[in-house]
Amino acid sequence: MTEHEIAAVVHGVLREVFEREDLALSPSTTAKEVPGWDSFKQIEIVLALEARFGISFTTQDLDALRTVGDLVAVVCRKSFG
Amino acid sequence: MTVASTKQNTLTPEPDLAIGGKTSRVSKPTYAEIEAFCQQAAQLRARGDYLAAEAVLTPLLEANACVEPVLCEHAQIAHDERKFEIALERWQQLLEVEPTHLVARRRAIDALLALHRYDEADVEAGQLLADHPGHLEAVWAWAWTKHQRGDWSEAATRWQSFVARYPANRSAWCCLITALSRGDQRELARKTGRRATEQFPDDADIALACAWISDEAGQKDFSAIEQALVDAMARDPAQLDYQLEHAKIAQIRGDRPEAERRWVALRERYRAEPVTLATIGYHQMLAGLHELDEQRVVEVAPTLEVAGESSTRLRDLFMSMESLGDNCEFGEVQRKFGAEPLGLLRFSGISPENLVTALAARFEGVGSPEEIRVTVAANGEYRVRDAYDIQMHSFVFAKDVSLERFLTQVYKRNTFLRNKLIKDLEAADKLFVYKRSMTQRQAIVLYNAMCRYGDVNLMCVLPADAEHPPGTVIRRTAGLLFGYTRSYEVAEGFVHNRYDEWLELAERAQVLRQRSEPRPTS
Repeated sequence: MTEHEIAAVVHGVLREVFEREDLALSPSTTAKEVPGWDSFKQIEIVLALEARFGISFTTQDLDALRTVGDLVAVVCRKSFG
Repeated sequence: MTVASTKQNTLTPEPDLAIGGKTSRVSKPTYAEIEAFCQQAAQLRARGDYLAAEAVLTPLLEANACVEPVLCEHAQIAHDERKFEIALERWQQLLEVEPTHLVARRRAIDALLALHRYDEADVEAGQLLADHPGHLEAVWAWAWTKHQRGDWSEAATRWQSFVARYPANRSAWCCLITALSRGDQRELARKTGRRATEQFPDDADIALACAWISDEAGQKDFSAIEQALVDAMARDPAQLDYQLEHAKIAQIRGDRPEAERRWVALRERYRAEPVTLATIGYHQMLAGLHELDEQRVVEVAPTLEVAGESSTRLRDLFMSMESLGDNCEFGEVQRKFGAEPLGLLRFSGISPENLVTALAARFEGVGSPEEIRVTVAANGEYRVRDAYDIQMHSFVFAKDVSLERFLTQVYKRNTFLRNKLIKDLEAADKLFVYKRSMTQRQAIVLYNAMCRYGDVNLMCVLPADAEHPPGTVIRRTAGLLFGYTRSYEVAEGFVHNRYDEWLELAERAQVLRQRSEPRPTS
């Protein structure tokens, strides 16, 4: 899976969690820009990504997340080993 | 108010704020309505639902219905939650309305004693006695303030006066024997003990107080205490206090194998009672606590010279910390400085005792449907109560998310955050922050409980005083810091967050962490 493909899957997971097919996402999108992206959603997203990619987020990973791009980068790093 | 409790495996409707079909907005409540609200709050308080109990009273307080039952219940909630600064403020508010209110002054004295403000407690006890001469509560408080202070000579004098007036009060006899014994009047203590024993031949507490006299003399005659405890347990096998003392005494006399045997037997006996098990674990931890010199200060953080700050640096600074409660204050401070870490206790309340027991049990049960209860606050926010009486804000509102859906989310969320907290404790990378007015000894117990996970760093944030100006941070031992703030002062019934002082505390704690002291190897 390429980085581009991973980004597409991550965006799909986010749209599923927020139940919004029209959710506009870019690498620079932050949680503050997405209505309803609170700690509950953050955890739903992390759990969904862990299940989808078979990876595990550490506290350092979670603390470093600021944008959707960061999220994709962590998934890529963990998926590519 | 709706309460969701999976303990009953159902969503249980509870008496709503809308009592008698009226809404929670109360314009001019009748006395009957006020009584109904107060009763509801008292029931919630008795169950430990302090947030919900406060929420029930909020409409009355907003409607300016500051009458005696409301003020009394409002103060009692903070008191039961052991938030003594706030409780004291509220009791004093009631005393302004009713200056001779016996319960208010009695509780204010208790709050002052819990805050170690003995002189003020003594003044209040004098006032209580002047207002209610000869009343049992007043005479008790008059002696109890000196007993709590450890002024044994004066305490003994006052207990003598108490038992002269109330000779049938067994607890007072025990206190008198203890005060005489600890005040080096052991002959008189023995004589008094004999009198009390004649009067109450079967009283286990008096027998115990007498047994301790020889130990107070430094004779370490634990056999008398052991025998008194065995007798007490035979008389009252259901009394947990005696069983705990029985295990502790083995530890005090240094017989570790026997102490361990007793603790194990206790845990086995109460294996089906999680609350009692947690209490046993807490007492075992206290009994095993190594005595430390409470005045020892290892290092004081220097005064800061820094001013210009980048927001990224401050965000990173606060991201390197994790709140353990006991309220939302530090979580809000982190938000103010742009840090939004995920944390189980970030917007939660938990007492030090419950935190210690939760740590001992690795937070077992947190996030479990059997433990979680959800209430809807007056403002519509879901409030969550989890195992170990952890009470948390959700910032999710009933108008936005159904209760069923919220429950599903909260089970997942709390389970995830519980696992994360355990990993964070084990990784020991973060500085854990706990703000609560407590003794240094309590802080050490909490720190020791955390050290089971790894070489953790804990900053306990305590009220500033003359010796410790706001912003002071001291290192007590390798990973234990004490920070001091004025962010305890109550104004108009609320504690106002002091972001400037929190920033100072965070900066200074960081400096001390960077100069990390080597940890003892054991």
